[in-house]
Amino acid sequence: MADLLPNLNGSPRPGGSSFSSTLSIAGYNAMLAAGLEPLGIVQGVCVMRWNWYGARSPYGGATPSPLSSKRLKHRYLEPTDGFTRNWRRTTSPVYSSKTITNWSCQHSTRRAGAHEPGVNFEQNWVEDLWSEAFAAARTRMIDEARMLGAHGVVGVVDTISDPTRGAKEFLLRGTAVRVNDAPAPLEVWSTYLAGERLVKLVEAGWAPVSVVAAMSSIRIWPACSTESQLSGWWPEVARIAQLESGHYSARFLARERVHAESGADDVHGVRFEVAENRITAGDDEVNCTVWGSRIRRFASPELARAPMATVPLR
Amino acid sequence: MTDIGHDGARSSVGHNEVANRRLAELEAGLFTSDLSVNEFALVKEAGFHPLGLVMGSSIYRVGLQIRRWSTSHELTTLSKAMYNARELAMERMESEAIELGADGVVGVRLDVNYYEWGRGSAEFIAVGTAVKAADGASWKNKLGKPFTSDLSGQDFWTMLQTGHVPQALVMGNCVFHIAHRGALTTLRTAGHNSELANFTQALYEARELAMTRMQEESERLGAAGIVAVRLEQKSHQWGSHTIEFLALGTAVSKREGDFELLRPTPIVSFEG
Repeated sequence: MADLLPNLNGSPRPGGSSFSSTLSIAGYNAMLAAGLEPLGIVQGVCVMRWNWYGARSPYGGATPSPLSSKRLKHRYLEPTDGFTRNWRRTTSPVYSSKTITNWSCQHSTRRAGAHEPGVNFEQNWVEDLWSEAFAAARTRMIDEARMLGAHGVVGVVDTISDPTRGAKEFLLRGTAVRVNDAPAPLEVWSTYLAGERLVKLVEAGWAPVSVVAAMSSIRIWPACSTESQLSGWWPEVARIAQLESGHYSARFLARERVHAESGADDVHGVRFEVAENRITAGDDEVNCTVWGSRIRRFASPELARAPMATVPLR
Repeated sequence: MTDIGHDGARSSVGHNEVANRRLAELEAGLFTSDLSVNEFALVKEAGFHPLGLVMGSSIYRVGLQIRRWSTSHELTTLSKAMYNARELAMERMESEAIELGADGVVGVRLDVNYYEWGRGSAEFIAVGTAVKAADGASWKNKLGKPFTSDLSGQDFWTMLQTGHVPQALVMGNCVFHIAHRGALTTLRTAGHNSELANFTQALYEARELAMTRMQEESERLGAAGIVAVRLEQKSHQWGSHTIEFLALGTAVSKREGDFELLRPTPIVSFEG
């Protein structure tokens, strides 16, 4: 990781004699008033090779289809809870995937693209890659802040983009700050909050700990009834149970992971993002990402100052 | 290494007849401004009079540069062109402000426009409101020029309360070519998802170069820091693999004297 830290002219930008900040001016004022001194903009980057796996995926069939493999079909029909499947390609690491649910259709007709039985399974390899990339970008941002002698990073913004084919860039950046007249913390803290909002939170007795995020990815191979419902060929108004279950699992898993990462702390300002991706007919994916700021109580839960009531004239 | 040889001396540009007439009217006392009512009120509250809208533009042939398909690298010709074109527009806006006897320019907007008639060319425009201190004190920056800033009227007022004064709108850029990954490479590496360290380093350095250049401008002004930094990335008309990273912010320096910082007050708004 050290080789990916700042290396421009042998001296990193953050060591300059002037500070820089992405805070708004009102936020800058609020931070100064609260005794937080901005030091510089810090960033962490991680570009991951990001290929898809699975039957009918754009890059071929690393995942055997349950329809084409009796062995796998048999295994998919095993009890659903705790079911784990492993496979190995000669050139790839071993991935494990947890089947969430199986879905069967009792009638004999099957729509093109549908699976019998249908299956929802977790794509651990996608989730692991996402976690690894986010953690690497976060660590690098924190490392830059530490080089500046900062106590924390405020106003963190993260973006995920596709700089080139088969790659994803994870970028985290924020403004490194030092708390005046305070000893350095054991760990550099970070938060998505900045300015007035952060000051309000601290005044209410909470301290920022870290930005946290988690992602879950559920692959849905629809059963014939699900595929018919998705294609608009179902005669009744009815819930699409398999899709509903996939969405629920994705949200549940992402939320659980963020909670697990936060330990006994709380998570503030949680942001959910759910993306549905139809890879081909009969091959869907639901990705859920959750971000938040991990915070810890350090003082009694009461507002330091009573709010003032205002009527804006507009 | 970070200096890409931008033209240090800004060219002096004479105003045309129309601009001269407009400036003469402004000098006669009429003022124009694109400040909102709130911004106007706060600029006045800060002790400044708006003098008039000032503008500078530059139509620039950005040029071409050969890119290596599979290597990430900076396109220095394009970096210089994009920087110099913006500098020219800023310079011309500043010279209008000087002509009006302004102490500074607030609310500067820096835009790039493309037209069908100018393939490979772009128009760079800088527009802002020139202001002058009501008490006659000089607020010019350390280079003896009117300060420039993209801060709004509200932000300008708030910044002065923090004991800082704007010096100049500073910027740094870097046009970078991101290497392509061929379909064969992508296929060959299917099943090998892992970090692409060379891409990580390239994108990191591109942003870092833009921020370093911005910071160097600020240090040349002897500023204490840069506030309200915006980090933008755009492909303009070059296609998705060529990106301009632009860092833009207002360099500020400390004012003399002691200032009591504004204490934020929690409010409950009666607005729905």
